[in-house]
Amino acid sequence: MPRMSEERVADAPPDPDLPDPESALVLLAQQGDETAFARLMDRHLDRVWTLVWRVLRHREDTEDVVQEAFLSAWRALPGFRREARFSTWLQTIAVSRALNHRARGAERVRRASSPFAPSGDPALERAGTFPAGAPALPEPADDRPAASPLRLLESAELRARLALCLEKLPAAWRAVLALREGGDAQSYGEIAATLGLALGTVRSRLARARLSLRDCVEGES
Amino acid sequence: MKPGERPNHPVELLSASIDGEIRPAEAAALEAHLEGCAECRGLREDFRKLGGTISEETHPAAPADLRERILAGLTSRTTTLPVPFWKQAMPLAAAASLLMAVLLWLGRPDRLPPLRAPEPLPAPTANAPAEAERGLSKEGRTAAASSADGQREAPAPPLPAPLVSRVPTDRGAGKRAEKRSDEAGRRMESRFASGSATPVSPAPAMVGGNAAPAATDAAVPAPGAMPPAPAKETAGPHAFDRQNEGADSKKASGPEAEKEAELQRLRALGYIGSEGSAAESAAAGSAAGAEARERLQASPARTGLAGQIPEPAATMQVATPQSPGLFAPPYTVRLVADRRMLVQSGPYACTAWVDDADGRRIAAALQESERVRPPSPPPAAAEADAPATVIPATPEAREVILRLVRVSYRRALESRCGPLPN
Repeated sequence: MPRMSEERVADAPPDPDLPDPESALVLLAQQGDETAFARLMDRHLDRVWTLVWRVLRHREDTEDVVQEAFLSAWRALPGFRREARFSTWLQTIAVSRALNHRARGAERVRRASSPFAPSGDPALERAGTFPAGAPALPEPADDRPAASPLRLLESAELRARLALCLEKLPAAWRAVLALREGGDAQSYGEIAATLGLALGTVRSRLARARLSLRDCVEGES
Repeated sequence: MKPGERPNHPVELLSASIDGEIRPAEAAALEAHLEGCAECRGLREDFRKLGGTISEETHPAAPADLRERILAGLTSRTTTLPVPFWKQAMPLAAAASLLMAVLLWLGRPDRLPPLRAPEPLPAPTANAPAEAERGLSKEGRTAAASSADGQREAPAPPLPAPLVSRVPTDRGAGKRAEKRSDEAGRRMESRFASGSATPVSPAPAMVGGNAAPAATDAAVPAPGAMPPAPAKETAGPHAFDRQNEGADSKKASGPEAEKEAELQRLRALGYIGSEGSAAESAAAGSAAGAEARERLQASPARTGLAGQIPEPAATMQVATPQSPGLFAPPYTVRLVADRRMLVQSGPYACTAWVDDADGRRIAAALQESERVRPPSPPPAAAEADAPATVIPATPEAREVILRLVRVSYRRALESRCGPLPN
């Protein structure tokens, strides 16, 4: 990579008048400029890492997938038509890679089982996220009190339970949650564009994920 | 009731409401339901608390070497915008046809007289051998030899004396000469094939029987040298000009307009109209050409040939070329004819050949900067001497330009025009 070995020039001062300096980087990277791609990666690596980790919740898998995602983006860049934002396009690749990785057999064996019953969502069932023999949570009483214990949990305890429950959540649900709750708070439309889903699917999947998570955390208490 | 299910409660609306993704009618219905449903009110609070906890969740940081690992995995991907095969082949075919026509004309057996009377040859100049070496291919040299040695039954166009004198007399010399001419032929063909209008062609001198006295190395126009006659526009615009039409859209179209624009650029750069005798021009051109050829042979890929602008000091009036410039402080960079970039900074001005990839980079940077900050239209009153458009570079474009000027082409620029201003 001859370009990378060359000395880097000093960063230009930021210009507030420029609406999207990233588009120039994208254009250059599309033409094979590895330095420009490196700059793009500097901008997006942390965000993609966080997103993939939130979907996979496994450090080594996340490393593999993030690396795959960026290399895949580099190869696919000439075909990127800049109709969507680069970040959206990159996240689409990353989530897609993460879900494919999650669906692999070895990964399924390694993972903890999910306590959740199949939801009727065909995409989730195809992904094989509901292995047989999953230990079911205790059936809650029908006369569940309106005041949930979840709100009474200390934050440390809540985080610990939440981490366990997120592990058990289907990866496709985690992907929706990660895009919505992961700090970026993407709109449903953006999530739908990133994941290639219908808007209604995003909405229902988020609701299911939240309810399942809530019940899981409460059930562990 | 199973976990994850609330068949009698509007869970989806609850979830959407905390994200603000709910229609007004739905919101009204939800509020009406919430008034009488404590469980749903509790759910909504729980969803909010869970969301806050998820967003604050910590996670392991990316390994420090992940970035480098990814970069190490990037395979070289040279992207060229798709150009139809016939468009790629046409310049080469045109060049080959022209060459073949010249060779057939030179080597024809019947020695037909020329269609028009041959003009008297000027005295051989110092650069004529270099021109012959550059222009003649192997076949051309053979044809020239046979023409010189053959029977002159009919008046044939006289060959320039240096050509005759360079006919190899021994076997080794012949091989060396063939090697040189092959290299020259390849260079010429590659220029035609790449669409360059660089006027390095033996055709005008040979066909007309008139060795142009100021045929300097066209890539390195010398101070005071006559402008090289623009070659025929058989090759068409250069590849990256075609591919980045938006970047160079100010350029006039058509062979005549391009020729005029080229002359204007050369004039603006001081290539035309300087004082000095023809002999000085020719000598300087020959010296510059020889130097440039040496450099080209030493490092043909990257070094590039730089056209020196004489006296790069305040004494020289550098008129601004018409092509749009990219202002990447402290430099203004333009793409000018023959795949060269012109770098200006105060009184400093210098050109260097850039390869296709870097030409595309400059064009892309220009295009992007123009898109972000379109230049104001030049005043209609002064068309001929209108100040050339200068577009401020975006930060990213500036970085590209600085890297090209200060790193990639520093050597080429400084070897011709002295130290690069920083």
